[in-house]
Amino acid sequence: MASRNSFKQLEEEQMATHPHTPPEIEQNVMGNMRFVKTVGNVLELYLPKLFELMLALFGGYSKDLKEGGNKDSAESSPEGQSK
Amino acid sequence: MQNDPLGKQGNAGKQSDSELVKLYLSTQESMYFSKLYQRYSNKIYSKCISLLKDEGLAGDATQEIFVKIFLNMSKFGEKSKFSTWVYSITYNYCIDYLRKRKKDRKLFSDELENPPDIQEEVPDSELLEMEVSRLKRVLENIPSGDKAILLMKYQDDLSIRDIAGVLDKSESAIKMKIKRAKHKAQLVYKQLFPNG
Repeated sequence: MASRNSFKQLEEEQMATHPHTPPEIEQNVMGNMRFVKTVGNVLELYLPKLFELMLALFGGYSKDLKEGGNKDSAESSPEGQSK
Repeated sequence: MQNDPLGKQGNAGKQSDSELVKLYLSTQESMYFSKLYQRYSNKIYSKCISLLKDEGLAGDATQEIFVKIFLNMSKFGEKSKFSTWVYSITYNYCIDYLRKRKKDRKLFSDELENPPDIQEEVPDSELLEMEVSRLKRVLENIPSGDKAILLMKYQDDLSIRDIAGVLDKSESAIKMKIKRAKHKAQLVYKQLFPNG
């Protein structure tokens, strides 16, 4: 293979013509990143609870809700909650 | 100080790309991603300008490419170098964009209805040793797809396999595309500079 590579030289020339990316690109990328992270955190925090709540509303069985219910009221029966 | 399990926050400048990816994935600290951004943004931006021929479009493309990188960071499996992965995403984005914009127009020489017959392969040295200003003009005058495939191979050293992944084609199809792109470049060179 040839030792010279005009493609790489051309790339260097082009990068010298545009030595810096516009700063708003970085701001937008980081902004998008923060937004995605926040949405991810919110979903991680609330989605399982929402799912359990929906399950309970439609008469399903949720172990967590049952355990929570037992802590709150020791007298209530587990059969009653799963209905 | 925030979570820094490896205690390397101060040395982010000395980390390799894959170390920065690992650090980012384990800590979710944006400073590691920011470091990768600083390393690659200029290259990606100038590559986008070269392929899309518009600074505004190149800015939007760079932004979307980095969002893709960020969203898919956990899928980077170190089967290839991080730079190869980043360039694959860049070319994939630009080629997709050009395909959508050109719609019915063909992006590669071998997609023409009657692609030219090629008997002999153009030697790599003919392209690699071309005068830079002439190479620039040649690349401006060949189809965008041919230009992209030559840049992937000779500027970014992507393997045939990587290029096949970017273009979603078989390796033998890529070899043929490269052959035709080189032939097209040689043809355009002879038209632009008939006196050699």
